[in-house]
Amino acid sequence: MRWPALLAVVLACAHGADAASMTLDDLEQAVHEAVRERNALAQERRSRGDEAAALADEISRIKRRESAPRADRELERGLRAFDRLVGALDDLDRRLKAQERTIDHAWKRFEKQADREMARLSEQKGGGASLAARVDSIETAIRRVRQDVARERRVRPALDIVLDPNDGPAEIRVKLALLQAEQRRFADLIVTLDQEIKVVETRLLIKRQLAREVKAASEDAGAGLSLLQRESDDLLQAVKEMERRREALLQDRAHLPRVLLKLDDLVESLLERESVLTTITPEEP
Amino acid sequence: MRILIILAALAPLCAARATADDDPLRRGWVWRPSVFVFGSIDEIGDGAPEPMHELLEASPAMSLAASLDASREGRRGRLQTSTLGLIRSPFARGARNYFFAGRLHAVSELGADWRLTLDDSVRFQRRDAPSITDFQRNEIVAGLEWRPPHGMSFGLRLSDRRRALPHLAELGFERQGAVLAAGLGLGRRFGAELSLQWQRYSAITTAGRRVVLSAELARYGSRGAIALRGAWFEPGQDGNSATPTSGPPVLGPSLPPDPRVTARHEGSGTAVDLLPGSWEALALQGSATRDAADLASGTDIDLAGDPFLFDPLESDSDEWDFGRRKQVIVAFFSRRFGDAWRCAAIVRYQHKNGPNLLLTNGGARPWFKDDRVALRASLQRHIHRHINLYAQGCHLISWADRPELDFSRTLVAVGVQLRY
Repeated sequence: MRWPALLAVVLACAHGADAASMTLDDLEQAVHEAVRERNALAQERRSRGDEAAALADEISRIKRRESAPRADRELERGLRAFDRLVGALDDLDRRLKAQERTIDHAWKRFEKQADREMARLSEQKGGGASLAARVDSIETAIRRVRQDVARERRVRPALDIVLDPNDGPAEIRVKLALLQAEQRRFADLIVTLDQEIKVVETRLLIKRQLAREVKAASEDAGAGLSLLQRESDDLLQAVKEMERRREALLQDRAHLPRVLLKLDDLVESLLERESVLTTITPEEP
Repeated sequence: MRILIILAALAPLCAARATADDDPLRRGWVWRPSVFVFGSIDEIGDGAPEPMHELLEASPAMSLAASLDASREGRRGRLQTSTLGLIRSPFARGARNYFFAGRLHAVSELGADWRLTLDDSVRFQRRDAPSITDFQRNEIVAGLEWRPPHGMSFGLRLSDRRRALPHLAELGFERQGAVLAAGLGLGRRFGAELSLQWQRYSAITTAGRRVVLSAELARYGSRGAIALRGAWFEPGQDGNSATPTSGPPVLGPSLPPDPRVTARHEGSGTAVDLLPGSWEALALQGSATRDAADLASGTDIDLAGDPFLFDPLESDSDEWDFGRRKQVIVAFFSRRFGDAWRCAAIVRYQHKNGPNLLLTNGGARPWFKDDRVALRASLQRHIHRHINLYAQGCHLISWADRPELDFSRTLVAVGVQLRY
C-alpha cells in the first residue's frame, strides 16, 4: 500500500511544480487550446449527429408501421446500421466530457495563477503606470478566458423586443428584421431538437437492448467473471444518463412552440403598426 | 419448506405489480416472481470414488422451486435482489433436499467518476437426513471504483467469505480478501481487467495467506457476449512450509458424524479413506443440488439466475484448496437467437498442485496434483409471456494422481418456468 501513496505524492508534487513554472500567458493559451479542441469535437459531434438523424428518421418510419410483415427485420437492420454510428457518437460524447474536464482544470489553474499575480501586484509599492497596465492586462485576460470558456446554451432565450409607442417606421423595420431572424432561429431550433430527440431515442433503444443482453450474460457467467457485471453496471448508468439527456431535450423542446407563437404575434403587431404609420404619414407638400 | 411456501404465496400477490417487459431500468420497485418445475438425470462415471456413489441422490429426480427477484432503480443507483428456494425430490420422504440462495447487488454512483458497490451472496443447503453435504455460506463484497472519462478504471474491493458445514467442520473456513483492479477499454464494447488479490484465510486445519493474479477479457453486443478469464492462485507461507514427515495421516480434530462416513472411517481404522480426494468428492455432492438449482433459476434475465448459484472460479464444491497452487481458465459465451431462443455456455479448466492441508499429522501433508474440466450449457426457449422452457447440461471431468479424484459426472435437466 506504500507505493500507490508514494506515487500520488510524486504526481501531486510534479503537477504543482509544473503549474508553478507556467506563466499566466501560458496558462491562458492552454485554456484557449483546450476550448479549440472542444469546439472541434463539438463540430464533429454535430456532423455525426446529422448523419444519425437521417438514419433515426428511417427507423422511426419503420417503427410506425410495426404491424407490417418484415417490419421487425427491417427495424433490426436499421438498428444495426445505427448501432455502428452509436459507437462513434458514444466515443465523441466521452471525449467531449473529458475535454470539458480539461477545460475546467486549465481554467482553474489560470484563475489561481491570476489571483496569485494580482495579490503579488497589490503588495507592490509604487510602480505607477506600469503596475496599472499589468493589472489591466490581467483583468483583460481573465475576461477573455471567461468569454471563451462560457458554454453556449442549447436554447438561448429569444431577444426581448417590445413595441415602443414612440417607435417610428425606421425603428420598427429594425425590430422586425431582428424578430424575423429570431423566428428563423427558433424554427431551426425546433427542427434541430426534433432530430436530436429522435437520435437520442434511437440510441436509447439500442443501449437498452445492449444493457439487457449484458445483464443476462453477467448473470449467466456468474460472479467469477466480474468484468461483465461491471460492464452491465456501466451500461445501465449510460442508459440512465441518456434518459436524462432525452428529458432535458424534451423540456427544452416543450416551450419552443409558445416562444414561436409569441414571436409571430409580435411580428404581426409590428407589421400592423408599420402599415398604420405608413398610412397616416402626411404626404409631402 | 416454509420459505418455498412463502415464495409461492408471494408470487400471485406480486403478479399485479410485476411487469412483463424486460426494461432493465424501470423506475421504482419491480417484482418478478417465478415458479419452476423440472426433472433431472444425474450420472456418475465408473471411476467415481465410493463415497460419492453412496451419497448420490435419486436419478431421475424432480424438483420444485420458486424465486422472487426485486429491483429498484434510483436516480443515483440501483438495488437488485434475488431469492430462490428449491426442493429436490419433494415427494421422497427422507431424501428431500432443500436449497436456498439469495443475492443482493447494490450500486451507488458517487458523482460522475466514482461508484460504490455492495454485493452479498448467501447459500444454504440441508437434507432430510443428516448429511455431510449440508452447508451454508455467505460472501459480502464492498467495492469502490474510480472511472475517469479517459476510459480506464481503477477499483478496490474488499470481501469476506465464510462457509460452514455442520457435519464436516474441517471443510468450513473464513476468508477475507482485498482486490486491486484496473479496467482497460480496448475498443468499442471490448474491455479488459487486470486484478491482484490478497487473501487471508483460516480453517480448522490451517490458516495463511495467498495471492491471486487474474486477467479478464470481455466482448459484448446486442445479441450476446463472450468472456475469458485466467487466474493464478499462489499460496503464501503455510502452503509451502509443509514438510513431509513419517506416519499415517490423520484427519483434523472433528470427525464427520454422518453414520455412513463414520462407518467407513471406523472400518478402515484410520482416516486414509477420507483423504482430501474423497473429501472433495463428497463435497461435490453439494454441487449436484446446486446444479439442479441452476436449472431452476434458468437463464432468464429476470432472475439473478446462475451467478449466485454457480460460481465458476470459486465454486463451493472445491474451493477448499488452501495452500495449493492453482491455475484457472474460464471461457463464457452467450447468444440470443431472435426473441425466443437464448443459449449460454461456460467452460472451466483448473489445475491444482500442492499439499493437502486438511490433514494434521505433525506436518505430514502429502502433495498431489489434480485437474478438472467443467462444461455447462443452457438453452432457453421463451414460448409465452409467462412461460419459458429450458434445458441445461453439465459435464465434469476430474483426473489426478490420486485415484479418488479420477471421475466424471453428467447432469442433464429439462424444465419449465412460470413467471409472473
